[in-house]
Amino acid sequence: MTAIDGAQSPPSSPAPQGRSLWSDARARLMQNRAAVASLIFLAFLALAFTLGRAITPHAYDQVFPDYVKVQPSLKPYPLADQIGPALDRIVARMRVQAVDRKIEGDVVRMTFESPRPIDERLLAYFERSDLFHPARVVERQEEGRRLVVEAPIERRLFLFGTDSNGRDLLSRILLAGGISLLIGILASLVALIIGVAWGAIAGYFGGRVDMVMMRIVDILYSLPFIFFVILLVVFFGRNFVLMFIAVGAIEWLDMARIVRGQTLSIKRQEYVQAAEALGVDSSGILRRHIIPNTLGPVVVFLTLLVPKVILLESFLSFLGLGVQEPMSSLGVLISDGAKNIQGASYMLIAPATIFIAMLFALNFVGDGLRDALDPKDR
Amino acid sequence: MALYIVKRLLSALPTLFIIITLSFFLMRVAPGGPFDLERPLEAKVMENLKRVYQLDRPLWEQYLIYLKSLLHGDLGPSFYWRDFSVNELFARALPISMRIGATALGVALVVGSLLGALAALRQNSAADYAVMTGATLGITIPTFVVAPVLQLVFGLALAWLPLGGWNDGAWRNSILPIATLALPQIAIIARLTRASMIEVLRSHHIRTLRSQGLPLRYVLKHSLRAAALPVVSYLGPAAAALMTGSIVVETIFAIPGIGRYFVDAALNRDYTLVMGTVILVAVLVVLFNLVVDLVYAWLDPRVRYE
Repeated sequence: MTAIDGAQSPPSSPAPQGRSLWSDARARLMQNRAAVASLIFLAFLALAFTLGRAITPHAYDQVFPDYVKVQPSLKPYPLADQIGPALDRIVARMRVQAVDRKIEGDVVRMTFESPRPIDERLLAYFERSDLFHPARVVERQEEGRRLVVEAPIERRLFLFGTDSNGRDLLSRILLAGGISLLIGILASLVALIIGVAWGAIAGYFGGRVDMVMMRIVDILYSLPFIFFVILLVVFFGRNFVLMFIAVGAIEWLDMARIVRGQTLSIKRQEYVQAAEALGVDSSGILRRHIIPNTLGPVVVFLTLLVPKVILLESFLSFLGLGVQEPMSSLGVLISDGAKNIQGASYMLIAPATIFIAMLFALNFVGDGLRDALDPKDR
Repeated sequence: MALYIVKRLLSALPTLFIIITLSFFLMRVAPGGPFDLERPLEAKVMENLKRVYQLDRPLWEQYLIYLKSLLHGDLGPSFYWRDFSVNELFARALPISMRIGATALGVALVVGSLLGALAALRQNSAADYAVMTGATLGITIPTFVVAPVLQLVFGLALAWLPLGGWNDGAWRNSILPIATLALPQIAIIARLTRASMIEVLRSHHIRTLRSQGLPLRYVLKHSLRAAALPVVSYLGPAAAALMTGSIVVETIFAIPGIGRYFVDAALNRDYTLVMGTVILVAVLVVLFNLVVDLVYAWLDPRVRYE
């Protein structure tokens, strides 16, 4: 980014502020309503992914065995018809007789009977259930053979339902979206760094260096992508950090080609020749003149690369090679949802909608940037 | 032209050789072996297995043996599917993947370029926006979402088509996989066609045609030919990818194609099968890039064979 900032404000420019390529482009981008709306939407998503998890009541890896695959609902669980069977289960486990049962608002009041004195530690079954807070003994009768017990109902909100392990889908989507977006951005940055350096060096030095470097790119191009990734997985294990390095290490090839093409035309410009004549060394020319001037097409390619990487990552996660449980990415959630499409279709719909909306927005931003940075296309 | 083709194929040989060498040694250096099970095999059994598959020789000797058999067109025995050679596995699975891939590509080419041309001719109209929105959707929705949804709608809800399976190539079984494979390709081809078509429509020769009031089909004929160039150069790698089967589509629709070998072989350390898939992809990429260049020269007479 420093290179961009540097291009925006030419050093010690006098009063009439010149209009640089970047300020022009920004103005054009701001006029593109779809791109601006997408940017705002993406900012909102990023905020939700980072802060949202603090707001949701459940941790992403918290399992609720009593709420497996419950439907999304605005009303808090448990529903009225879930309380009865849950109480029956608890009573059966405690091996006592329930003679009287009343549900008053948020509190269940029960009376237990047993031929022998009831061990009050058995009330732990209430605590273990996801539906109730710890129960309290209100009254002991007949030397402990009759207990009156009160158990408050624990209300839980599952706005997006739960998954097949009984975890809150909203929390998982927020986590997964964050990870997907993070992988997309980081992998693209890896691709950016390798690709720009590789392409600029190959293009600037030309000749034999260029030939060897671009031949390497050609060879890597013809290797099947999946072979590459699996090799990396085999070498380093299924690692979250590795994922984006692997994807980035594959996606830099296009970037290198683009940058090389740009460099070939830039290096013949007069200002580069002037710098050479002044005795600036190669690394200085590359850093000060060549790379900043290739950034236009690179930025465009980068914004379109992010959704592509997210798709790739989700594809790998679908194959089981990507992010591992209990962590999650949108690809993991979508593939889970696809397996449960019958009966629990919300498990596919919710993550897929967010995924598609996110990619849509990223694509709009990329298209908007391309139009903004390409003055020919006006 | 024949000379050009021979020259191009010959120049691909060093690249192929490097790819084979690179993947051979990378695969062998990777930890784990083809006979590693949860419960280790007896030492004697392991030793025999290794001898049968010549894994007990030094690595460079194995490499030379492999290269020699490769020159005879033999990809070696599979280490995991022990009753089959890699050649046999490919002979059974490759035609299936190629048929589905080629059909999907053909469908995508026709539908995609027509939609793209329509959008370009009616630029900024409702039809244009509809096509472009559909195309963006088609690119962003992953196949592993499209496939189950298609299964649910056409297989279960409407019960028109079978959910999966190959059924010896019955056409009813291949509709859903072809549709799943074709949808993203349609989207990409429509976008490419639209973008290049808009540029071509602005060019002098097409403007002349239009200003002379020639019917639409003449305009289309001339502009589609020029606008096809970027689409053709996209088709090379895309064809290679489609012909070698889609892992996702073949898994979801239970098609005995070649796609699943890519993942299974590498995870099982089935060395020869991995090498087979790598070589297959590399050869197809080389071939399709050559075809692309030939088509390019045919479409655009200014391109000369170098």
